[in-house]
Amino acid sequence: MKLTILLSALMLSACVSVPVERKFPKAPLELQQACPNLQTIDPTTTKLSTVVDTVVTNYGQYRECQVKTDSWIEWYTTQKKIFDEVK
Amino acid sequence: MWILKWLPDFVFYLILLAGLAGIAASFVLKFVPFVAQYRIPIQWVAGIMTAFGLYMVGAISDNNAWLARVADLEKQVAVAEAKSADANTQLVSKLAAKQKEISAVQADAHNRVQQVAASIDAVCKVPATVISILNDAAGSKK
Repeated sequence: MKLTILLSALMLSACVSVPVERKFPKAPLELQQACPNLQTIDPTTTKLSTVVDTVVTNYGQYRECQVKTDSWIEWYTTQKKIFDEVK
Repeated sequence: MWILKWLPDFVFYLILLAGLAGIAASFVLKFVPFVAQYRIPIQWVAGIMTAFGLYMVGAISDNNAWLARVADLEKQVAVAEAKSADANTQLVSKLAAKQKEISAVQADAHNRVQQVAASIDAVCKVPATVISILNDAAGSKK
């Protein structure tokens, strides 16, 4: 009985917790904005210029979202590489 | 190991040394009456002290190895955090440059549309069906 208590105490004394805390990397705020909805054309218009103007704006929005998505991919790849370097 | 936080390391080295000294004394100092009389109990106590001391010296060594590992990991984490922040800064600058480029292209395209607006409006009148199709494709079904 005494031996069991002694052994238990010795075993419990070996319990350790590793105090190294790793924080999840923060993504830039610029990437954390949702892509806006595509613009729609005024249904009453018959002007081709208005249509083309809206299409140009929407192309621009698409390009911005494309750049953001590419940036997210780059962010993930880079941060994962940095994360994996810690061993 | 909690016990190592309570007691300084030298205590365990002393216990080990005392245990070893006790074992040695029980064999060497047989001519001393006290040792001769209590030889067996001395050997038992010294044996337990040696075993405990050895265990704790091993634990101290293990603990020190873990502390070194923790320190190394903390250093690596700090470096990784700095690298991460640096990568974010670079990414944000790259993103800003690309957005600036997109804005410039957009402004140019809008200007060109404005310049030819009158002429293209004169040659083409867009039917409402076309606008409805485009608006639906843009995700607005209103």
